[in-house]
Amino acid sequence: MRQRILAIVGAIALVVVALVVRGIVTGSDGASGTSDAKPIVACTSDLMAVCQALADSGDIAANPPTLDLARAAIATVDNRPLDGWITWDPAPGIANLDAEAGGKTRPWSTAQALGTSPLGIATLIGIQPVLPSGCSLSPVVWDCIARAAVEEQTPVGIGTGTTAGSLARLYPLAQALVPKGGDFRDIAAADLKAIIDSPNVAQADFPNQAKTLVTQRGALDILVGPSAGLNALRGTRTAVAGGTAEAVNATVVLVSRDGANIGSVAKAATSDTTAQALRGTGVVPGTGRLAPEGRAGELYAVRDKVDS
Amino acid sequence: MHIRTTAVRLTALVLAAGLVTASCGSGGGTNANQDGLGDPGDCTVIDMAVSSEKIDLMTALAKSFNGSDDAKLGDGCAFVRPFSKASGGATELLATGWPETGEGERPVIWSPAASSWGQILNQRLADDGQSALVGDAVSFQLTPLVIAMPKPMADALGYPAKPVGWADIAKLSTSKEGWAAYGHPEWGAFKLGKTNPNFSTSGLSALIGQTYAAAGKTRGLSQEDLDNPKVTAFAKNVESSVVHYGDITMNFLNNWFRTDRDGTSLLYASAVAVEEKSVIDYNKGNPDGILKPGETPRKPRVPLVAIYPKEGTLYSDSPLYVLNADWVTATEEKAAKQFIDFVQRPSAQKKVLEYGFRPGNPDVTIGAPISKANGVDPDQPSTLLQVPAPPVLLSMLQKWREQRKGARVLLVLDVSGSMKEAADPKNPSGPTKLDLAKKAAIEALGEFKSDDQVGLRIFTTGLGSNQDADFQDLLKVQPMSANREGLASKIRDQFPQNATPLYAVTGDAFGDMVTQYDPTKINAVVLLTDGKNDDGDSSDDRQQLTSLLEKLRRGTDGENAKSVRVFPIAYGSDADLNTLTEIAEATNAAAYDASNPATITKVFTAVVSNF
Repeated sequence: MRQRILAIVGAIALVVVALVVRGIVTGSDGASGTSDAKPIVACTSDLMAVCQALADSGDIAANPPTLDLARAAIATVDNRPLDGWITWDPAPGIANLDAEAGGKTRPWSTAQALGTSPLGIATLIGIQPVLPSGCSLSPVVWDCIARAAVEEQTPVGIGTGTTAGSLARLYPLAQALVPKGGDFRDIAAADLKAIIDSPNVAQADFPNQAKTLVTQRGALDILVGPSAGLNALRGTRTAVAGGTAEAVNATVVLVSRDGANIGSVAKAATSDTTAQALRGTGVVPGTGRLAPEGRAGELYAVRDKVDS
Repeated sequence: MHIRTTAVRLTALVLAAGLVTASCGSGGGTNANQDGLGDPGDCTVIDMAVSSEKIDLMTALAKSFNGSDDAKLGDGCAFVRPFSKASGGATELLATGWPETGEGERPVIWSPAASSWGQILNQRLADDGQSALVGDAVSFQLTPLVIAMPKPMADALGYPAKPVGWADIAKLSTSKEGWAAYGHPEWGAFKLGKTNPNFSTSGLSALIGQTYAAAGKTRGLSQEDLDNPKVTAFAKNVESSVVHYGDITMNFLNNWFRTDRDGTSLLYASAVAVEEKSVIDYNKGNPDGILKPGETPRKPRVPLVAIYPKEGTLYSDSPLYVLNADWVTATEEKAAKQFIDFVQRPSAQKKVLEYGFRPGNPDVTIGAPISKANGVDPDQPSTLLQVPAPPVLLSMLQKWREQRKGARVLLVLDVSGSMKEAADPKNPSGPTKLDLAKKAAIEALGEFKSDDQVGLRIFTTGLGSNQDADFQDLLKVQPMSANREGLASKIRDQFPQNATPLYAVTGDAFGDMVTQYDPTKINAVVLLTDGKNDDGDSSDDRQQLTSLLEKLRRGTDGENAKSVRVFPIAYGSDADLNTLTEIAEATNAAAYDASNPATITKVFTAVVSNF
């Protein structure tokens, strides 16, 4: 009897040892990998085409999950630890701040840019957006766009102000609202909310708002987004893209969960299919650099005010 | 809790009303439209319930899809089969598990006119503790609500150089001068056509638009706004010019088109709230958007112009829902998604445009027929209104019941001998046709407000003490506050008697209502009959009918006419629907088909939706 018990204990010990060894070999904690150890990489919903391209080429695990700021402070989806996240800069920094605020360790390490585009605006031919006195649309002055939404209730498509993509688009408008001598924490929450509430239809991510601009005339007077994406909307009647006087970029980044090795994903992101998917999100692949370190803190404050 | 209960009741009202639309012959009918679709063979059949205005388009798209490479489904194939179902009716059926009662096959895909119906459905299910049947959906086409107006009238208002909106409609509605103020006394008073917002997406959108205009807002409509006396007064002003309401816009468009032939369309209505697509169809000579076999489009003499209200408007967004229902299999879901992908492709979206809808795919540029040549403007609307929160929406509907134009109605009930026949021939011991008619009439009384005036007349031969009268007035036309109980009681007392002197009684009822005409109300006769004219002498039937139609038309035409509408209900399979339609059209009203006696309650309620 005693021998049998020892045999069972021994077998269990062997299984445990095998799992530990496997974890070391795959470079993960043993919980995230699939049998072929492909990294699990999530995308924000508006960048899912990029993840799908990587999954289709076998560079990341199949069925990539969606992840946005609301759940990014814990780098897991459905209890599956993530290896990486493709999102808009500086969302990983904001998620790290969220984690710290919750007494947890920062989940995300340094990001790298996959593509970027300066932010611009699109309008509809035949609809003259109401702008504050002294403002015009060419060249675009972000202060004018912000005040058009706040003071004139001009419907501006900017997203919900709580997602990675939306915060990247909102940044130049928020910056324009910073009072003299103050910082982002001093922006009037009511002004930020007025921008978010300016359209009579719900705010949405950039791809959906680009569609709304064109197909639901009257819903949006101004759409803010990556210029490369806006240019795709240019048409004879429907939309034009305007350049901006003060360049602010929206940048897609790949970030690894702290300790995970996703070097192969970064390399795969330069492939033709992934580059095409990146172009579809409105950025120019293979370009861009990260925003200054303080940007995450600034947009953290902005999101808090929108949410308040 | 109280608000929630009220909301649920009102939602139920909206939905119940919508159900009625589903049963009416002229509008969101239940008949499967499978013309030319052919045999699905062994393919996976995808039944699709769609709102009536797009049944022709969806049938055309299904024809393109079925049998194509796009319809391949593994080793098999998908076969899409659309059928027409009014949005409100489908909502009610889905909320109750889509009972198999001859209302069409249980759908895999549902496409109401607007996604607000999907929200209402999910809300209703949630209230009943059930899970949602619809999720996010693709909006594959759009059409905005507009105010359709005959071009000469729009020109007189200075449109489009001068923007026009609900504020102008409210002002015109109460103008004592009417069109004389614009140099056209021959057009008489301003007359507005609007569908009942409890039944129709257009009617609901129009109500939202006029309420925002009254509140001076484009968003955030609140209960306080609705309670504002100025908003109430604005609403009453707009409603005061309504010719009649109804369940579907095509009744207005058909009447407009018919009167266009004899040059009196400007006298029937000055403006009607419809979807942009309807203006295109009308101007192309197809007023109801459905070309029947043998029907040839004929361009109207006086075209319509789409006025995009300056205060803003709403879109009907045609969502395509794959239902999360237990009757939808995984294979059907996959096949449905293939079809939904198909209709978003540019080739299908060009077809969407051909049919007068705005494509949901931004890659297809708006062009003809959405053009100024067809009376519409692709560069409009410039402002989109926010859909109010559900409690505000429901409160708005409740208030509308009191704000709408009052009605003065004579119910004329056929109590001829044939009404004693069993309503269902397979159940000879079941209720008679008169039993069901009485029940329906009594139920419909609940739709009248207290200051509506309603009277009751029965007809058959051999009435009265001398047995020589063709009709008897059981209750004179007076306010429902005094008549409601009496009407129910008198209707309940009726029994089948003799023959059917239809023409004589219709003429008398019309004449009496013209004599008592009240210009502040919708004046109408509701005529329920199960037969043909039968007064004992068939030799003069044709002459009687001709005289009757002349009398009705004489009373209806002209700028100073006292418009009394006759709404006949053709009840049972023996009723003479064609003749009743002629009678209705002679007064610019509509006939209703209740050839299946089981539908009489729904049909009666649909008729009352005109008031």
